[in-house]
Amino acid sequence: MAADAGDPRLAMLVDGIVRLSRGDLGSRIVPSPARDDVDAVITGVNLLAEELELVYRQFEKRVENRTAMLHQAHLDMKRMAMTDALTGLSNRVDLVEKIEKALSAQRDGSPPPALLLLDLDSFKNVNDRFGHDAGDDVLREVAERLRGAVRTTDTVARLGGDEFAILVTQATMEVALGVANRALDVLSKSIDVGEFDVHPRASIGLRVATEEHTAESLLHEADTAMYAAKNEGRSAIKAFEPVMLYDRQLRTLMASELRDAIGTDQLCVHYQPIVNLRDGSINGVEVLVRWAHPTRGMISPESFIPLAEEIGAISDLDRWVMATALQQYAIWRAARLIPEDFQIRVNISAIELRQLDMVDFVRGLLKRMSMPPRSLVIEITESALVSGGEVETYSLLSFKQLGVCIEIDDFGTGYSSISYLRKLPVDMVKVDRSILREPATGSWQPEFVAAVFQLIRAAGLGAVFEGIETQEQAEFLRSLGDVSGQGFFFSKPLPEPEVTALLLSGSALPLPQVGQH
Amino acid sequence: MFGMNSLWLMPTEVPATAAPVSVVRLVLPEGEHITTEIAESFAEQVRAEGGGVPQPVLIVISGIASLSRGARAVFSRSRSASAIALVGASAVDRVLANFLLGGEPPACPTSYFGDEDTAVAWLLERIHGS
Repeated sequence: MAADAGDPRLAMLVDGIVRLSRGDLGSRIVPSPARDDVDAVITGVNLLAEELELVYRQFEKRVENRTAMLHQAHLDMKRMAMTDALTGLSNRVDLVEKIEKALSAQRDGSPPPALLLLDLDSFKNVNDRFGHDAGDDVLREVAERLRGAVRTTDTVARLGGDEFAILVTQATMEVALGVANRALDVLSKSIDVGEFDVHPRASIGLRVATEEHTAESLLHEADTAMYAAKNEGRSAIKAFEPVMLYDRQLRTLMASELRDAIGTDQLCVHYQPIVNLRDGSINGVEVLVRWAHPTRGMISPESFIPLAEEIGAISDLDRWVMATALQQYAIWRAARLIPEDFQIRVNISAIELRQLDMVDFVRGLLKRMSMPPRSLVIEITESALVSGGEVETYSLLSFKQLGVCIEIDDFGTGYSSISYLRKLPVDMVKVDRSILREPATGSWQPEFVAAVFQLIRAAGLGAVFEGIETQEQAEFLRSLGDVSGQGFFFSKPLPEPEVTALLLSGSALPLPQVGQH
Repeated sequence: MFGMNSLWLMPTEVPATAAPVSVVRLVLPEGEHITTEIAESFAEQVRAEGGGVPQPVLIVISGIASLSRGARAVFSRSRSASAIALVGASAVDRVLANFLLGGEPPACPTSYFGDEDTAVAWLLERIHGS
């Protein structure tokens, strides 16, 4: 049954193939009842077309599935990229996006958003004392509580470390303050970490957006307010004020200047004599660092030491002071200006106790200067001693083993309790000036001072009183027994040449006339 | 509606002592488009016929209009045939048969024939030849 040259089915076949090749895969060619070779070709083409259509449809379906999977993966990734892995809160990227949305809504007439930045106070202590797992538990709990303290339209984010943010949409100052207070409130209950309770206090900075804000500037200003709140003290809420920006800039400038100043002659140490109250003889000095700023004059350690701690320069600063002081001791010793029992007192920061090599550094210095360890007294603030973790305790014990004396500084200002006095590895107590002077009236209460002294003696420790300003105070303290003291009544802190001259003279303090050396 | 009958065949080559062999013979409806449903009904008949024992099957496809993919899948899945011979008459039948045999063939031997005699001989050979 060969097809004739004029077989119309061949033309149909050609048309059919043309349709198929154009992509019309549903098109079919109708075979004739003859079922000859031409019909066989038609049938074959139909079957192949059906196959092709099916494969094509499967392929389309697979592309569709893969596209959906890709889309889902993209969404998952986006969610992961937008989420803080530890707490499941929004992260910074997501927060910025939401701030931008809220700012754009504001431009369209909605009430402005407000941004709260929240930083946990002394969270680092939690990590240091209880470990990072406990720290993570605390962060998760804080996240959960904050989530419960905001409205559903608000966003809680974790920006990293112990820093959280709350974006309050459609806010007023009142609404924002309400959220801030609720946040402080939910954090006021302690968090159970194993056997311990942690009190997660926080400082909050707040900024209600204006029309001019960008997400970045809003974050910066809320952060500046938080910074001010942190300086204010614990559990403070601060709304942004323009002057805060200036303070912060000044602080940033000062931070970079301080870094540069360490190790140059801008920093120097002064020495305040410690006097044996029995005879006025000088039995030691306290080393006090000073910053002679080229344009701003003398800057007090109260303002630059916290700054040095904050910018991580405290270690360099403390070590520079320590080295300078011990070198000076060696010079005085060589010149036979100081007695055997003369002690040089150096303050070190609580942070420095966490540096495991600090003890080695001091040991090396003592050896180099041929200085007996007992001649060095390390003064550490009471709060640092009490709140210190294992590393701090280890450092203290190592210092003690080295033979260096340890003194609690500013005793009476913080956590003092009798049990601490007995437990801590300290040798001496420096009684804070506020004990000598009743703060409100400026008058002082000898009975109270006597009781404090008794307490220290009962704990088996030596006592040094600071802030002695009058002869009356000096005489009363002398009457208590074997007491040392320092204060303006005897001598203010002196630069090295003046204190050297004083030691050279062998004079007892106070000198008969003020201003003489 | 669809023709199907069983044949008792006595193959000439096998000894007289051999038991008669039944070949299931199916005739697909001429002019029909063989759908999944039609194919299923035939498969069901083969299963019933065999009673759990695979049978040699002869399928006459002469004159069918076409075969769906579903019908082809029913054929591929077949487990109740021990061998399948397809029989057709025209070039179109041959193309359709080979479409049926292409792709994934069933687990048993399959072949296409232009006439029934050769097909039956081939089936019997499958039974006794090996």
